Amino acid sequence: MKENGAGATNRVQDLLKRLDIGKRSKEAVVATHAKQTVDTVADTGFKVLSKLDEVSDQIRGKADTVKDRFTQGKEYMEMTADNLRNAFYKDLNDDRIVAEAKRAGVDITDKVRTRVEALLEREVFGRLTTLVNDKANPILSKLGLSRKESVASQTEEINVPDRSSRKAANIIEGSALVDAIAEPFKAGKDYDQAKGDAVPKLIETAFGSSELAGKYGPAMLQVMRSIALQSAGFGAESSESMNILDELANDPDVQKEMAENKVNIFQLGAEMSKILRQISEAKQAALESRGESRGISWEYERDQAKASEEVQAIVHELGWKVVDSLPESATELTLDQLMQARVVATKFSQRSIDVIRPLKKIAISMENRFPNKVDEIRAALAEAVAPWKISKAIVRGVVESSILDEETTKQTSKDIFSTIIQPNELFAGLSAEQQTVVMEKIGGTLIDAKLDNIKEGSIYEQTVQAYGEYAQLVVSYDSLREHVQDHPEAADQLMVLAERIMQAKSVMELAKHKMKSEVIVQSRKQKNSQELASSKASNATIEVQSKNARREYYTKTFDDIQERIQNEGPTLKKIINRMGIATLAITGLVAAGEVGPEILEAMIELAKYLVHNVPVAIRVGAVGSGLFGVAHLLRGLRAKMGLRAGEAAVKGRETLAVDNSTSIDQLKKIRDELLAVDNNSAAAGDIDKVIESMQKN
Amino acid sequence: MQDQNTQNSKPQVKADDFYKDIDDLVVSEDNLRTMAAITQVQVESADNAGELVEKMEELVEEENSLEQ
Repeated sequence: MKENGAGATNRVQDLLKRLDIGKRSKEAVVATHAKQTVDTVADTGFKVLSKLDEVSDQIRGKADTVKDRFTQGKEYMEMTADNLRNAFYKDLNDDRIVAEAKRAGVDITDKVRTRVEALLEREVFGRLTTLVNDKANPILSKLGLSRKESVASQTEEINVPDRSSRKAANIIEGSALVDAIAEPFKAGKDYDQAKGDAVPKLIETAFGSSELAGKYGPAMLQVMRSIALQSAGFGAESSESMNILDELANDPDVQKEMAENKVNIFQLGAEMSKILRQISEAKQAALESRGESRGISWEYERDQAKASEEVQAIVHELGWKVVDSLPESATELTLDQLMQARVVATKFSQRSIDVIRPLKKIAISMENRFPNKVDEIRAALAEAVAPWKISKAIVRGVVESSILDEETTKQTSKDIFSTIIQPNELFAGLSAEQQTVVMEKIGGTLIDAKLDNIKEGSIYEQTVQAYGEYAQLVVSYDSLREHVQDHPEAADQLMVLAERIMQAKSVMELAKHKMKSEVIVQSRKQKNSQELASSKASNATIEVQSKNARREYYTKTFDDIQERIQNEGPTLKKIINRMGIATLAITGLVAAGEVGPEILEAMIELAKYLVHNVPVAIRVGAVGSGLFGVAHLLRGLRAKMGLRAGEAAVKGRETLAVDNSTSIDQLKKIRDELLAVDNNSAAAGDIDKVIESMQKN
Repeated sequence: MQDQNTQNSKPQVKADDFYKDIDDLVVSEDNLRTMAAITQVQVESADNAGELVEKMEELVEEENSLEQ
């Protein structure tokens, strides 16, 4: 989002003041400022980790919540660093800031940008990785809280094979777009030339003869051009023009000639003035759409096209990095790989926009300049981006159209029976009749101890469906990853596919676990009723009574656990907490470094508090208190840091906390996603309630 | 040029659905993060359920050992 002029100016002045311009080379000071910011993040992280290290003995092995908080903390530190880097990137490419800096004597050249970006890359993904690896992981280990997914691996340098030999098959040629748009306007590639062609024709038409137009046209043209330029606010002097007009209008010979030819010079002037004013207004609109005061030549479009093409090369490299982070076969996909790929995919997304945005700017500018050619301009833009569009549509289309065949589905059902149900000790200990009863409870029909049919809507069917979804995505992935090797522009689609695969895999695993727990409990119930009948028949002894009591105790425990399993699943609250806490903690960690050790102490106190309290209630409370705390910290953060990371965090918090259509739309998307992947109507109900509440507020 | 002579007959064009489609060529950061959050929550749910099933299995063994 572009800032207003005053805001940008203040920020640049503040930046320059802090940079202490003049004592060192300009490139060096910009780079130093960037480094100082990274230092702040790294130091903050170090302080937090050191404090946690100090108290690690006290909280060792006591609560999952601490583990969650700690691991999140590491994630957020890295995300913070990422945000800071992005903020710098945006600042250094913000036209207004660049212009203001230039006026203040700092030329933010490509050299400066390259240097700062390289430095941030090195510092963020070098120092912070080291910090996490050297400091955070040993603490986790000391606490006995090592997680399956290593957050540190997110920032490890991705081992990418020699990419210089790779060539993307689909290139968007920005320059071709400019040519395509320019084509219909060959007569006027240059604005002045276009105007030069149009106005003499007008004059000739208006005067009714080429002879008269040739005589008075040049003077009239000069007058009208001046008026037009002045009307567009380009600083042209109009007095001279008006003098010429006066002279013409008052010249008896001219008046006579005009009268003989029935030409009213004033009426003509008014008509022409109107037309030229329209031209100038169009020109002004085009300039405004560019947000700067450059000339209206095609140079602007050429620059945009060049920028798009240059970024495209970077995007392709990032795309290949995403591809290389993900395995060749989806069945080998791990959470670690996914997390590593996410970091690069985020960068990919940020830079992909920079390929598309300049092309949009070209088209929008041209639409303003030539409103009657909107269709042609859009057609040219659509054609220019077609290579990407097709590639991405292939990924999307194939994923959606893959269908698991009937034979595979049947085999899947049998596989589930033989891998989940049959090995179960309790199930195997039942009679054929009892096994049939248990199977009916979970939705399967047995004939001769073999699975014959599956009941519609049963947990068995849900498990098979989950497997089907997973298998379908796996098949799509395996072929499409190869596509993306040559079409790195579709890496984001591959990333989404990988996320969906991991989601489907989890849904499948969850369904399997639910079914397995059901088999255990139902089998047990069958066994219990059998033994109860047996003990009644044998006149219960004290020993049998004791056994029954024990059995009752275990049965209740199984029921409790099973209920927890059945209730397990993604809910809106969990998702929002994941997203919301991430945003808050980004701010929290940076802010902690700003406000001093009290906050660090408070964080530790909070961790200890969490250890000794009921996890669920406290988690909810912690989110609430975090909101209040961070709201205060944000004010100071924004003032002190002056970075977009802070603004983004504020925006993120507001988006989550405040009722607005964006949040509601986002929630609706999440709800649809949940229903699509898990048929999770309970979670969808939760979402609807939240949406309703947000709409009321 | 004629196009320019009559250009104001149409209102100035703003970004609309056409440009939204162009934007949608790129999966936004927000969408990537949302997908990641959903994945994480689903993975955690599956992990939690898996741990609980394991616990059930341990209890089965524990009870069996007491029965003997």
